[in-house]
Amino acid sequence: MEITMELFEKYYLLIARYVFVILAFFIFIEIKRLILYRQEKQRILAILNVGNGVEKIPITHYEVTIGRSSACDVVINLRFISKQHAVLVMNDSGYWNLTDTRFAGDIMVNDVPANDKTPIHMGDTISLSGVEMVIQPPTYDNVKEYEKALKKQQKKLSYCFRQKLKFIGRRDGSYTKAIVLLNIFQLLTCLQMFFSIDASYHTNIFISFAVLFVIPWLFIPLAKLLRLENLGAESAAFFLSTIGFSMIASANPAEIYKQLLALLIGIVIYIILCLALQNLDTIMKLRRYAAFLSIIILAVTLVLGSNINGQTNWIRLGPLSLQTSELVKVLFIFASSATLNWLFKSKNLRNLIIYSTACVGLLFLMGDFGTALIFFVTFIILMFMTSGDIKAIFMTLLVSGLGGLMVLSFRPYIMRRFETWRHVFTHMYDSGYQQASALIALASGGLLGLGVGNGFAKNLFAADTDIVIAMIGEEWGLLIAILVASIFLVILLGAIRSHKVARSSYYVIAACAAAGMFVIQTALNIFGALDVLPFTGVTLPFVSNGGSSMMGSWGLLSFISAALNYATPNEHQEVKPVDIGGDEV
Amino acid sequence: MKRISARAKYLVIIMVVFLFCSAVFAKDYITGANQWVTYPTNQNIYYEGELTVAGDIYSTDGVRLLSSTNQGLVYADDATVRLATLHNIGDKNDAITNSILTTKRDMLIGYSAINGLFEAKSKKNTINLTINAQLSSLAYDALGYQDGAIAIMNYKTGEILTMVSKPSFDPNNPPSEEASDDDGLFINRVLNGLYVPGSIMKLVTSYAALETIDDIESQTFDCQGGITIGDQWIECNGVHGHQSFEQALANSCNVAFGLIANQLGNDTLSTYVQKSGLTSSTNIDGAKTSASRFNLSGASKADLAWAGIGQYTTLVNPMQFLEYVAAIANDGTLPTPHYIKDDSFLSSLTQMTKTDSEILDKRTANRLAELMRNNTIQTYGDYNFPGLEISAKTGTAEVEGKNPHAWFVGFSANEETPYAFVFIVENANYTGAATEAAKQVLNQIPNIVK
Repeated sequence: MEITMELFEKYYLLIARYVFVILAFFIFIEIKRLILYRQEKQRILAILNVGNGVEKIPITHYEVTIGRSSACDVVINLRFISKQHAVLVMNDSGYWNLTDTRFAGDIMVNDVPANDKTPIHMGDTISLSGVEMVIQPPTYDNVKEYEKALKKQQKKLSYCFRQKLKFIGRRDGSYTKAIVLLNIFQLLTCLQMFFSIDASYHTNIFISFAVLFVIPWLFIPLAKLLRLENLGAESAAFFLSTIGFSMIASANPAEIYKQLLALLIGIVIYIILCLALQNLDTIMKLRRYAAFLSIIILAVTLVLGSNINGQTNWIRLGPLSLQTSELVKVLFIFASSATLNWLFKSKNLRNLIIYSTACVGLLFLMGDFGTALIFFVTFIILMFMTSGDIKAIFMTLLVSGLGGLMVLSFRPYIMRRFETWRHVFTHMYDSGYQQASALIALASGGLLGLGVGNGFAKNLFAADTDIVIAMIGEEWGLLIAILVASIFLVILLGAIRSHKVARSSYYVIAACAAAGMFVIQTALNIFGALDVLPFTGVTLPFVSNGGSSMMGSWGLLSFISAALNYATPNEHQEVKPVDIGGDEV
Repeated sequence: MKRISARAKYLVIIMVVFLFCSAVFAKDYITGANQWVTYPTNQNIYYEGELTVAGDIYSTDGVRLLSSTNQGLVYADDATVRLATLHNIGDKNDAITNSILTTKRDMLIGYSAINGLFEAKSKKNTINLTINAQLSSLAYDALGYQDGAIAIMNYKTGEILTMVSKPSFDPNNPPSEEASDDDGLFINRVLNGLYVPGSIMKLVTSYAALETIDDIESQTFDCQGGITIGDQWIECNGVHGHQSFEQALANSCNVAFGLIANQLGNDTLSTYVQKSGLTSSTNIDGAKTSASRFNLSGASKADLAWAGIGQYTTLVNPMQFLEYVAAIANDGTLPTPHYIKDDSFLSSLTQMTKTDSEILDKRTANRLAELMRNNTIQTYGDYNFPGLEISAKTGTAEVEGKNPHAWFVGFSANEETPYAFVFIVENANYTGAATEAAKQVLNQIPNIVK
């Protein structure tokens, strides 16, 4: 019996390392399909009948801008209309609201002056600066006209190009399939860890993996409760966590329970956020408090925080130490994303920029260079998404670039990182040791890896956090490391594509910012460890060992999930939208 | 929503930047991965800077020269074997370049792009050398208190049996960091030493003479103990009187070869030095020999005469000269010299297609071999090497302020012992020191090499 066991151990990894790569590849394909699949259908929600039948304009989104400019969703080319005149939004109760973006106060509904709370029903007459239009249910005639317009569109070159791009999301994935494959992957991983990791840790590791095994299944009833249909982003998180847990098991097995607890708390945060995100009105009210809270947390951390590794970004709560910036990330995106009707009030935008700048500034003061950089890039993304003002962004980059240089000159330890950058092997016995070892470890793994627990990178400082990619490369192999990195790109692509179906700009902006944050963080982590970028020491979302990071990542994930799922308002609408094939006009 | 949609699409830029970084890394990885794994901080294959996966290296007579274990490197048990083979194997700190540990590191580690070090860590490889441990020890001892270099090669197969470089050190007790490298402790003198050739250069001058001077064999040379060529007096090692070309070589007559060099001229002599292969470096299982130096540009008549008898600015590498002598012994062609036995099927295929390099014309080679055989019979004494049919040439290389280096190069013409050799004793106490060392080693070959 023992001899067969020994033989089995000897030959297990020989075969399993191929199976791991194949399984990971199929899991990746399934996740990719889930996240990127879109029904290429356009819906007409209502018709705007301008000037009693002069023009009938279809409304295809729940948030539309009305104005003279061609960038508006509903273009009314009349002199009395401003370039960007008003925003028409369907609220959670299924009624339309009209917001004046110019504060002129000349918007009337059924000849009565209206504010942005006045409900508009089907058949009501709206007057914008004296131009009258009736909001009508979509009728058969209009659909035909719409299709005619579509055909015209099809002759354009850009249309053909977009058709070609459709292959990216042409097939839907199956969550169950992804989870079954992941479960097999987890079981085989456990077997490998059974052989290679010290027996005293086996209980901790296997209990943690048992939880990881079951949670994805619990998400099926949970998804019903949260009105989620697409669990693509969640399956990605489970796969990444599995890889991350195996790395912790190899490098720091004693900390695996801590990470498991963080995962569970993260899921609770995720559930709370999903519940909140279902209701746009609630979010728009809560945003203000989130903004205040995040500033307070950062300020408190700055004053009371303890200094770990030259950065004042930890807060001790009894036995727990919390990296507050990870949680502020979630609040930051929660507070900075907005619906269209909010965005197009210029005063709002100014407040938003003041708030974001304060957040980034506080982080720089803490000396958390990596996180500040992540926030800064996210800030740029948010600024661009909300204002679209390229000039202002360019100015911000210029000013902050100069500011950043000044900060660098005051902080010699950051300058030293730049000296090491791209020359890690000449500094391999001092400042470049970690990165040089990371490259050595990654190369040692080849394409298929040495097997979990069999590398040497696990002995390095921050093996399962800052340079976790090297550990993955060494123990799982380069191919799986590439898949891990690619998943973040898929999530970003999914967030970008959510604009096609998302109900509100809030979801698109939040998802893009969250996914952008994931990718920036991934890039800084992976390419910092591998000496393509200067080493900043940030975590890899879902993978790195770190409770705060895990919780924050689950929080951010809810924004992406919301964009992929919450495509229609809560309540039933007065008139069902009409589905038509084809692309948007 | 149109505006937001349009802006969202710009985020693809982030993905493009990410992919650009990936491309930079891919380039780094493809060009660097196989070097990265060889760094001594790689604990997958090193233990405190010593290789753990190199497997075993055995000599051709079955002595374990190196064994790499989980606790690092273990050298041969016998102290003399360690000293004699150190420069072939290499030391723990990689101070000795051109050794197996440095040139064959990739092969010892066994890294592959697909499997990484997976197989390297699980498999144990064995390397067999053509080096004979007993013969090497004997050669090392034969140098006595003197430094020097000794190499012995099978001229039929190219297998190198001995490559001894002295001074050496015990790899188990490496010299301290401060130990100076003035006396070339870390240099394999056989592969990378450069010596003044002295009279052995007359073998190359003879080669040129046999090929280009039609009546060379019928000329006579008058030696009165020296001669003035150009503006310099060329001193001879004796007064040889009237002598033929054959006798002149056996006498190693400086007068005769000074005159022959001037008959040849600068260009011809240079051409034949090149043809002999001395001036181009060869690759011996990844170890590169230092090319010999020979330059006659702007040389006067006297300079040319000095060059013809192996002084002037000429410097010769022992291995290169051994290759030249081996080619003479093997009818003008040189089989690829090597010291790692490769018995794999693949290498036997490549071996079949490989052609031996032709260095000399067969007729010239045979005539030179006869002349060298005559040297032994006339001058060095055939009785010194019973049964070996040694054909050879001695040399004495003047070194400023110290005793001259003694050379003894040649080969055994006996079919049973097809070995070419080079012996150098540095700053020898007497002119026959190299011949004496050769006597001790060569006469033992029939007993040692089976």
